[in-house]
Amino acid sequence: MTDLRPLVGVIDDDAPALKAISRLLRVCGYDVCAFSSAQQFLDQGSAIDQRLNCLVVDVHMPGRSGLELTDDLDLADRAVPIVLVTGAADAKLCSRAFARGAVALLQKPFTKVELLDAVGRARDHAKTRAQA
Amino acid sequence: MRAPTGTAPQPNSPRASSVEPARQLAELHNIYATAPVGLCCIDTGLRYMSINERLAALNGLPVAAHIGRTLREIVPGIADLIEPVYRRVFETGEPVFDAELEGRTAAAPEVDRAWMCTYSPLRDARGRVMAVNTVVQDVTEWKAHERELRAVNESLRQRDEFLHIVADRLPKAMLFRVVHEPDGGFRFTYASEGAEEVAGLTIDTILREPTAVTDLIVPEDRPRFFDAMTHSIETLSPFDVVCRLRWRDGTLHWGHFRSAVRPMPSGGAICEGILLNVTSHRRAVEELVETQARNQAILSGLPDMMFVLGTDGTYLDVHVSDAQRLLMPPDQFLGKNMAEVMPPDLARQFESCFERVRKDGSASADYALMLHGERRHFEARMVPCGTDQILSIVRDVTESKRAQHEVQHSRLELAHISRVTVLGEITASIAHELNQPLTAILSNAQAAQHVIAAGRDLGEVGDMLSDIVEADQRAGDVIRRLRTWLSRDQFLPQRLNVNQLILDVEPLIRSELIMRHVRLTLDLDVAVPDVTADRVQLQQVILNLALNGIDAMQELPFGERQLTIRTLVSGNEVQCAVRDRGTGIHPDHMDRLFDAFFSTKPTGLGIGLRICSSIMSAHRGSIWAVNNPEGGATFSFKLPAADGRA
Repeated sequence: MTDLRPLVGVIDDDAPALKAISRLLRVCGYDVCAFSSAQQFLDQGSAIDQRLNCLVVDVHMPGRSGLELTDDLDLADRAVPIVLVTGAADAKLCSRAFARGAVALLQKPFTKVELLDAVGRARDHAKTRAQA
Repeated sequence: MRAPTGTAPQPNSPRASSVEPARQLAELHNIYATAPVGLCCIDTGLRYMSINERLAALNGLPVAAHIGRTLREIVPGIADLIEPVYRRVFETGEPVFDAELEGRTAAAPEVDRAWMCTYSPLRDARGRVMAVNTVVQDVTEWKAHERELRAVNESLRQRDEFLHIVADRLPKAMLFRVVHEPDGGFRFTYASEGAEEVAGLTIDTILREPTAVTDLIVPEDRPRFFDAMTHSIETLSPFDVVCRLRWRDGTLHWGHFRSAVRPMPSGGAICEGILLNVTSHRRAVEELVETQARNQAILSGLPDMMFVLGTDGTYLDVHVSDAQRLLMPPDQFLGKNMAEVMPPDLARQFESCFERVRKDGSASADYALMLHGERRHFEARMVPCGTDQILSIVRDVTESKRAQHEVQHSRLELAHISRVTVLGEITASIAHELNQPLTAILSNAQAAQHVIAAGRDLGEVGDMLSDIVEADQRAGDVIRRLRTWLSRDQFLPQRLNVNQLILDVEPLIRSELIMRHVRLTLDLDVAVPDVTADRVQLQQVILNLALNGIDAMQELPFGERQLTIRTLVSGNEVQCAVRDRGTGIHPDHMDRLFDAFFSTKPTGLGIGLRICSSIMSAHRGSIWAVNNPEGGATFSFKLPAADGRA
């Protein structure tokens, strides 16, 4: 049964936000792996890559930012659909996010519907890619 | 008295016979008896052959008692003196004229007397000296007068000498005598040694050239001098004139002539007096007058008010250029005590100031007065004036207080504008800082709603609500910090620790650091003493410097963007250095960094560093910048440690 639950990775340097986003996804039927930095995911996340349906990543983090992470994953050929999350969005950031292949860019604070919609689209994206 | 030549009359001789000769003899006899001189005739045996009444009286014996008696018998006191004279006349036949003789006779045995004697030989038919006729004049009185006269002369001579000595030694003064002829001409007949000091002339010149002195008088003063001189001579009144003398060497001096005038029997007048060189005195007077005039000008030109008070608080003198700034017209102060004039509180304040003046030599007071319906501020400084007076210098500082207040207000206003501006520059960071807790709140709330709607285990909802509360508090902190940051509070210095202040600023720039990929290192010396500063303003300085550092590193690769804030103790000061690895400061800009409206940023207003600098001045601190040897710049400020490091 549990195997049927989709897995989402969440990366945010802000602990309360990380905890809350993970909790929301979990109660909505997702399994969640939480990471407090991009580096932590790069180091530990490869093990779950195969099961990972989507990554929800904060753009502004100390060290590697969310945008940089997309580049890193591309380089590592770890194709995971990414939902970027930002506390301070602007048009420039938006275009950069989509240029890097992000599925969605969410503006904090986002609603449950926005989050589930973005994660859902990411899952579809992943399926499409897998079938291709 | 010369002896008569030829046959001498023999008054006492019985040998006269014929009638004519008898009459002559009687006349002679009469003369002999009544002559105002003493007469006698002495024979070869030095006996009195005859003597008149006067001489007998001088000898102190009757005429009859003399006849036939020797000199030694009659005048033993002087016999030794006169016997040799008689003998000589008998021997030589030569008369002795005007021989002086002093001694005592029976007439006045206690008194020395003096006589003038003439001894004339009387010869017989054969030419032999048979007797000596003697004329004696009592010159005792005359001698005494002569001695007196000599003494008077001597005393006069000494006085004259004294006068000359004194006259010649008078400092900067010359005694003179001028003879004014009836025809108007005059000449100096006497001048003392002071001539050089009063006129720059020798005595000789003054005596030789009649107008040598008066020629020195400057043309402007001449009419006055000569008018006074003419008047003095005509009225025989004292002469007293001060005038300027241009010496022959060109220097200008002041001479003071004073003299008395007395008429000469021949007409004209003699003018005797003194000429004083009063140049230095005159200069002192001129300087004094000038100083007084200057003081008066200063007093009337000064905006300050001056009060001279007795130590008991009585007003003695008041100088004020604008009576509007006084409680009453200036002259009404005089004679009143300050307790009658000032409000009671102020009078007490002044009394304690007077105490301090007595003790410490000065005191000052700040106070305000209601004048013409307006509150005005004053500063009084008090110092002793003489032994029993106090000078109080009062300045109206209302305007300067107002200006000071305005400056401070503008500075606060500008600082506020600067903070608003800074906030505008970091809106994205602020939004980020607020959006994080808002995200946590919204996600937790919707997760709770979901759980409740699904009717699942509500146990976790409690945790969610706790997290919401926590996140809300965090958002509240951000808002509070912003409110403080944007407040227009008064300048409020308090005791602060710079390290703590840096830790307080850090949340404000946290998001900025993340978004700009800058790593912040804090290197805080725990030993830094507290400082006295306004919290918000000091935060503003730290924040401005940090944001400048962040801006300076925009062109660097992410990994090299390193900002360090360091604190250290420097003597009795706390120093804080904000170091970046950016582009550094162009040497041409170094001098203008802290000027207003100077900015190298395309969107900069150029008030950030200016504000930092003025905040530092207001805190008795300083701010400066240097380029780092390895690149980038370091901006530092330092502040004096608060009193009594705690």
